[in-house]
Amino acid sequence: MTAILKKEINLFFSSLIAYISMTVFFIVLALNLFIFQGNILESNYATLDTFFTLAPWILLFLIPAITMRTFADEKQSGTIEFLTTKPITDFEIVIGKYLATIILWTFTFLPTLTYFICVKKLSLTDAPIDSGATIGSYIGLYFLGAVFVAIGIFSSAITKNQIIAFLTGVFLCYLMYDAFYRVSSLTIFQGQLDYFIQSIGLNAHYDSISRGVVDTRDIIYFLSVISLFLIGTRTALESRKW
Amino acid sequence: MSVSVHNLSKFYADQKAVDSISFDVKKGEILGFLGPNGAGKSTTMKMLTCYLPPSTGTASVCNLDIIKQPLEVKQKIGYLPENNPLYHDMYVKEFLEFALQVHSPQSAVQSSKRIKDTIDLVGLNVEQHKKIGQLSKGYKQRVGLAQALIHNPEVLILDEPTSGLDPNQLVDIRNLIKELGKEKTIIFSTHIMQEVQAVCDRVIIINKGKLVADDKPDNLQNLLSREILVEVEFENKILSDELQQIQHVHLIDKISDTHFILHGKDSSQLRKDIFAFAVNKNNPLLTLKQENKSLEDIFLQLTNKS
Repeated sequence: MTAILKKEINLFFSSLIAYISMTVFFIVLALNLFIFQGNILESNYATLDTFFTLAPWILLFLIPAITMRTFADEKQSGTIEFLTTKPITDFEIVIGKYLATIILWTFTFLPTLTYFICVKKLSLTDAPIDSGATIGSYIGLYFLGAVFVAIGIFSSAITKNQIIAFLTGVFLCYLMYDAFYRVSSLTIFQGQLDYFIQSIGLNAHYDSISRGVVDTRDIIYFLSVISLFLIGTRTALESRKW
Repeated sequence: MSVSVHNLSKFYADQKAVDSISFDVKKGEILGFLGPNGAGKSTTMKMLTCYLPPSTGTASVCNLDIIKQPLEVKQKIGYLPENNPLYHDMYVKEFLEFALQVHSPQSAVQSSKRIKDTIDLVGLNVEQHKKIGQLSKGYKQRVGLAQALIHNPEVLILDEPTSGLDPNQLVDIRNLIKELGKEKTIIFSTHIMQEVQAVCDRVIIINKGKLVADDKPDNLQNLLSREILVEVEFENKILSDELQQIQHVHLIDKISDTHFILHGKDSSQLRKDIFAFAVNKNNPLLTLKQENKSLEDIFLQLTNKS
């Protein structure tokens, strides 16, 4: 598994993939937070809300783009046969690739902590940034990214074609993040089912952590969704045997 | 037994890709796996390397069952898949390092020594600092072989290791396989007959998923070579009718007035008779050459009859 992990990390950092993903994520969000219309300097509130609302939508496209080649490329070029005939289990291959992408996501995520430091320095002493809620939001965002990575890898394992992998990834991420929330607000579900449907989606749990309360139920939810998609990925890999 | 296969079958929907084949390979044997395209060669190899599970039947490698102990089996096998898939954006050494570590994590010193030895063995010295994508087909094939050999496996399974190589590279790779066969058990598939004659201790021919022959290359040849061909060339013109007088000759192909191919039986006697005939007619012999039926003919005969 470590061999796979190392190989994948080398691949990210010896090509432009890692640097482009880090730069894109950092710059797009910094522009929206500090420079473009509606930035925090204009609004005069010491809060990172703009960042935490926009970041999931950027990730929705960025992460499937990073993960689309994970398995699709191996299937296309036949190297999957090389990997699966080595003395490692299919699950080790999946975990190795997942962890490598998580490390890249961590490196993409970490630079954005500077926004927090900036805003904290800029804010007035009598109206400081809400540190608890902001740290909660960061934790929520990190888990959200980790779920998107699992979804992206799953999408890549079900096809040979990288473009299909990307589009499926974007669709599934959107479905998990936003669609359940939207569906729950349809009038037919008002009353009984809306809360239940909402809690299937990622959005409800992301918002819940963002309030600054790290609830174990939310963490367990995130970890379950990750496990679900990773098991799905293994099943997709094993489908060659059916 | 290094490899032993019992009634192994693979069905895709209602199509039988491999239809209950059985064979054993002894340690240190080089087994040629022959068959037309789509005969089930690759599928059999994929089952032996635990890439695909068999539909029915069993097989074992070094007495380890391919279904119950896949990880141990994979540890014993070096596998070169068909079309030799490689990571084109990795460097040769980086790739071999990866292939080695994935088998058994080792210290940097051990692994760099093993990589160097393998690079020497397959003759990759000149190209070892390049990216795999930059290499020519012949060198890529060597990287594929190096990858299969890196962990010093007991059994090598090579799926068409010589396809698409130029004649010089062919000879190199064949010599390498022969050299490796002194210590390891090798199963390799091909559809080039000369290769089988040059390299293998034993040949298995499969057609439409069924085993049609399992023997030594020489025996297979003898099987169908009761009829022999003798090419003769005389200095002076000679008539076919005159040649008919020679005993044991039952058919004559005329190439030119002085050049013939005689079909007959009993090789040693036939050539003596031809010589005596030439002396008798006072017509010096320029060529007297016996030809065996080639493995190609045998292959065609075996794979077309069904």
